[in-house]
Amino acid sequence: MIKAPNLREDVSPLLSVQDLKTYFRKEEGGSVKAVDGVSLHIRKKEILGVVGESGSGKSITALSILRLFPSPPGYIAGGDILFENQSLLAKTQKEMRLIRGKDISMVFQEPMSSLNPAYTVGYQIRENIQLHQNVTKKEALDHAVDMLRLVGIASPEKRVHDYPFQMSGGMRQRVMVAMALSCQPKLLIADEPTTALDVTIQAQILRLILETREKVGSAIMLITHDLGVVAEVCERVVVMYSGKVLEVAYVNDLFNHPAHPYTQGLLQAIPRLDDTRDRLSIIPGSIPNPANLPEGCRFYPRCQYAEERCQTEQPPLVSPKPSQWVSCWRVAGEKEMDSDAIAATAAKAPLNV
Amino acid sequence: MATYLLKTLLKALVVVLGVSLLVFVLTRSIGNPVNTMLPLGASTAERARLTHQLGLDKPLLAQLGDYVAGVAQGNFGESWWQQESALTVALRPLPFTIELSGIALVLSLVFAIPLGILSALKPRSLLDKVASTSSMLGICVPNFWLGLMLILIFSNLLHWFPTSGTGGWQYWVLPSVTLAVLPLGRITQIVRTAMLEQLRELYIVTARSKGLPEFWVVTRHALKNAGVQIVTMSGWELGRMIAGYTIAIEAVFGLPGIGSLIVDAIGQQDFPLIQAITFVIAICIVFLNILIDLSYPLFNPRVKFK
Ligand SMILES: Nc1ncnc2c1ncn2[C@@H]1O[C@H](COP(=O)(O)OP(=O)(O)OP(=O)(O)O)[C@@H](O)[C@H]1O
Ligand SMILES: [Mg+2]
Repeated sequence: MIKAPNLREDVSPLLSVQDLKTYFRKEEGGSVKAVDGVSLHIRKKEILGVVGESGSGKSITALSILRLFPSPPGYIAGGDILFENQSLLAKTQKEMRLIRGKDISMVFQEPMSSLNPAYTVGYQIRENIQLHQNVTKKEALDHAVDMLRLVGIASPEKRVHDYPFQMSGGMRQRVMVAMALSCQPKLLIADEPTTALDVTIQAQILRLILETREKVGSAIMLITHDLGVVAEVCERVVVMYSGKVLEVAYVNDLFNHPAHPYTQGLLQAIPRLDDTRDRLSIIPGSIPNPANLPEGCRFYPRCQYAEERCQTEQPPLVSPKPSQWVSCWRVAGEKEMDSDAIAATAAKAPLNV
Repeated sequence: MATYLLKTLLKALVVVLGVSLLVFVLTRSIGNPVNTMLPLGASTAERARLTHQLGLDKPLLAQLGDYVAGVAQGNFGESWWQQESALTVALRPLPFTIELSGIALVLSLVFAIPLGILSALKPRSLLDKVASTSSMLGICVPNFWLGLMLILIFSNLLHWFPTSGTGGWQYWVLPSVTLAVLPLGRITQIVRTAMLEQLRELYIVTARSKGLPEFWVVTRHALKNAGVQIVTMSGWELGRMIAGYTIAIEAVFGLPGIGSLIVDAIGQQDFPLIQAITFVIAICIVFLNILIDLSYPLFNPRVKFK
C-alpha cells in the first residue's frame, strides 16, 4: 500500500515564532521591550539567518525560544512559540528541560565563558548525552570523543580530558558545537558563534557548523551581524531592528531587491572589493533606546523616506510577493490594503512561506 | 608540588618565628611575673632568687637566645604556674577546642550553604531579606550574651540541656550553637555573594540549555565554582575559633578550652606557657592554611602549586 504523502508535515514549519513579545520589567516601573512582536519560522533542515544591529533583540528572541532569558526581570508579554506544532510557552519547566539540549540546542557568542571552568570538556559533553539518552557513563564518554572528532579536534580521546582553560577560543567553540549537536537536535540556535573569534577561525567554525549539520540533519537559526556570512550559508534571512522584524526574504531576493529602507542601508554598508568610494555609506543615526521607543515605525528617525504616517503608526508585516515580508508603509501603502486585509495577512505571516 | 611544599614550609617557619618573637617581646612588657608569683611581703633576697631562677636577670637578648635555642629543640621550658612542661599544658585543651570549633563549623555550614544558595537564587525575596538580616544579627550579637540567653531559656527554663561543663552530647549543644552563630552569618553572606557571582556567568545558561534540572545547575555547576571562596572563608572562621575566639563561650559554659588557658596563663604571667600556647596556635593556623591551599584544585583546576 502506498502511503499518501503528508503534505501538512512538509509545509508546517519546525519552529514558528508568532508575534512574540519579551519584555524586561524595569525597577523604576515600565518595561524594556527587547522583543516586540517578532514573527518568524524555520523549516526542517533549513538554515535561517537572523541579522540586525546590536540591541535589535536577536539574542533575546533566541533565548525566548528556549525560555532561558533572565527572568525576572524578563517575561513573555504576548505571542506564542510553536515547535513541531506544540506551544513551548505552554510547556512546564520539566517538559521544557526534555526539549533543551535534545530537540533544540544553542551555541553562544562567547566561547571563552560559555563552558564551565571547573569541569573537563568531556564531562560537559557527557552530561548532555547522559541527560537525554539512556546510556552508561562509558558510552556517553565514547560518544563525546566521537563528537570531538566530528568537530575536527585532533586526538579527541586525549582532549576529552582537558579543561576549558587548556583550549583556545576556537577549540572551545568547537566543543560547544560538539556538545550542542551531541543529541542530534532538530534545531540548533547559533547566536553569533564566530563573532568573538579570529577571522581565520571564524570561517572554520562556520564551515564546521554546516558540515556537522549535514551529518546530523538539524535546522539552524544563525544569528549574525555579518551579511557576508548570510549570503554564503543561509537560505532565508530575517532582518531585525529594535525588537521587530523589518523584512523576511530569500537570500537572493534580499540581496538583489531589498524592500525595506533599512535593509537597503545595511546592504550599502557592506564593504565591496570593487568599491572606489572613500567612505562606506552607513545609515546615519543609531538604534532607538528600547526603554524609549518611537511611537510609529521603529526605523523612521533614521529613514530617508520617512513620512508623516511612519511617525505615528506602526507598519504591519505584509507580503508584497511570495516568500517576502516587509514592515514598511512604502510597501504596505503601495498595495493600498485596507486595514482588515493587512491584519489578515499579518496574522498569516509566520506560517506562510 | 615539591617546590610548593618547600616554599610553604619556609613561609610557615617565618610566620611561626615572627609570632614567637612578637609574643616574647609582649610578655616581657606586661609586667614582672615575680610580683605575681611571690606573696606580698616577700623579701628582696627572695625576689632576687626567684628572678635569677626564672632567668629574668639575664639581658633581654640572652633570654631571647635561650628561648630560641629551647624552641629549636622543641623545649618551651617548664610552666611556672603548673610546674610541668609548658608544651604539655598548652596541648592539653587543644583536642577539645578543635572538636568544639569543628562541630560549630559543620553546624554553621549545614545551614549557611543552603541559606546562602537560596538567597542568591531569589535575591531581594523575603527569604533573602530574612537571611541577610539574621546573618547580620548573628555577626553583631555578642556571643557571651547569646550564650547566657541560651542557658537561661534551654537550661534554666526548659531544662533541655545542662548549663555548663563537659560530658555527653547534651553538653556540646549550647556551646556549639552559640559558637556557630557568627560563622553562620559570615559564611551565609559569602555563599550568597559567591553564588550570585557564579549564577551570572554564561556557563550557567549553557548548563540550563542542556536541559539540566535547576538543582544540578546550582549545585554541580555554580556551587563548585563558588567553592574556593566558601572554603577560604570557612577555614578562616575555623582558624579564628581555634585561635581563642572561644574564650567568652568557654567562660560562660565553664569549658576547658584553649581560650581560658590563654587567659589564665596571662593572668599568672606564665611566660613559658604563653609562649607555648601561641606557638601551638600558630602551628595550627599554618597547618589549616596549607589544608585550604591544597583543597583549591578540587574547585579550580587552574590552580597549580609552584
Ligand atoms: N537582562 C536585561 N534587562 C533589561 N534589558 C535587557 C536585558 N537583556 C537584554 N535587554 C535589552 O534587550 C535588548 C535586545 O538585546 P539582545 O541581546 O537581544 O540584542 P542583540 O540583537 O542580540 O544584540 P547583539 O548583536 O549585541 O548581541 C537590548 O537593547 C537590551 O536593552
Ligand atoms: Mg546578541
